[in-house]
Amino acid sequence: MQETNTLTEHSQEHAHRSPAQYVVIAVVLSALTGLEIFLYYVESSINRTLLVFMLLFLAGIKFFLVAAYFMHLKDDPKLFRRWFIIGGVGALIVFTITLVSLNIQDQRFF
Amino acid sequence: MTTPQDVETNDALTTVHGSEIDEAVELVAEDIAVTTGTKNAKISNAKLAIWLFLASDFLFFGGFISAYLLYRGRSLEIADAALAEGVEPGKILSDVLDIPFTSATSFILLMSSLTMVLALAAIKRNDMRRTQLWLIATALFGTIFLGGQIFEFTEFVREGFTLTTNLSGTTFFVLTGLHGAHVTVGIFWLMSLMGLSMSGKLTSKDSEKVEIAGLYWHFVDVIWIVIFTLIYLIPVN
Repeated sequence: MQETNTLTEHSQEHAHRSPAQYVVIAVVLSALTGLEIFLYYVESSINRTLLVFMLLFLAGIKFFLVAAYFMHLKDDPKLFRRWFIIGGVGALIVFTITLVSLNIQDQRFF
Repeated sequence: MTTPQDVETNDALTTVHGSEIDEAVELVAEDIAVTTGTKNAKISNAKLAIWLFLASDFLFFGGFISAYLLYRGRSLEIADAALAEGVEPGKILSDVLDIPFTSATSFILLMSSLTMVLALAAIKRNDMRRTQLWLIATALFGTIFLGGQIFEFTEFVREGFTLTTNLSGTTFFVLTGLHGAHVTVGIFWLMSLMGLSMSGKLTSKDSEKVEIAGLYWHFVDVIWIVIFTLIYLIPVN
């Protein structure tokens, strides 16, 4: 199970962030969550499409921060990152095609 | 000038040391390739397996999220039609949502990702006391989130929004229930790591076990980030 190269494992460990950096990332995540909730409460004063895009954008940033730093995708071997991006983008394309073909635009999303 | 005897001696030496030399050359070449970024580092089987699982689970959740997005609007149309006919329509999700409550539980789940990554950092420093502390904190936050979800489900059912009210209800409860099941598995996983740690069977050499549990836990968190935005924060138009 433990088929790791000692040298590369050692360098990977050093590449991971420090606890203080993780706390900073958590603070940013908290602030973004606060902003999302704020947007929810002022939704009536914002254009609907703009609101949806802003909420999706904020969720995207939060997703990226957790995946890149907490899941170490930014520091771990590139193979994981490639899989994650190919899988994520692939899934997004497949589900977007499915939703559009099943008329998601009629489902009061935007 | 090379004699046939010299050639024979060289062949013998190559046979004896050839495999070792090849191995050394291969290792050096690999290290150079990894350092320069032209080749990926060797990856443990366990880590590869969890990433494969997470990729498939990602698609699994994607299907359920898509189903919810498709059906929530249709349920609203059915409710509108029922109202037009003078029939009492069933509740829809936006009637029963409690955003401040769900925001608080979502925040707790988000913070559990921080405690999880701190547990990994602690075990890599061989700080077992802090590893246990952060593992307990992560499991506790997960339990609070789960408790909040159970409370939320109970309230929804009490207010008349159930699994069978409409398709929106069915897809909502299945999706969020599935996520809750993932959180439950994560809590048991963390508790088993705690058990190993307390019995001295988890040391800094086993940091990969914590890393793999952490990858699963963070995945549960990123999925909730998507669910919270798409289902709770973006209201039906």
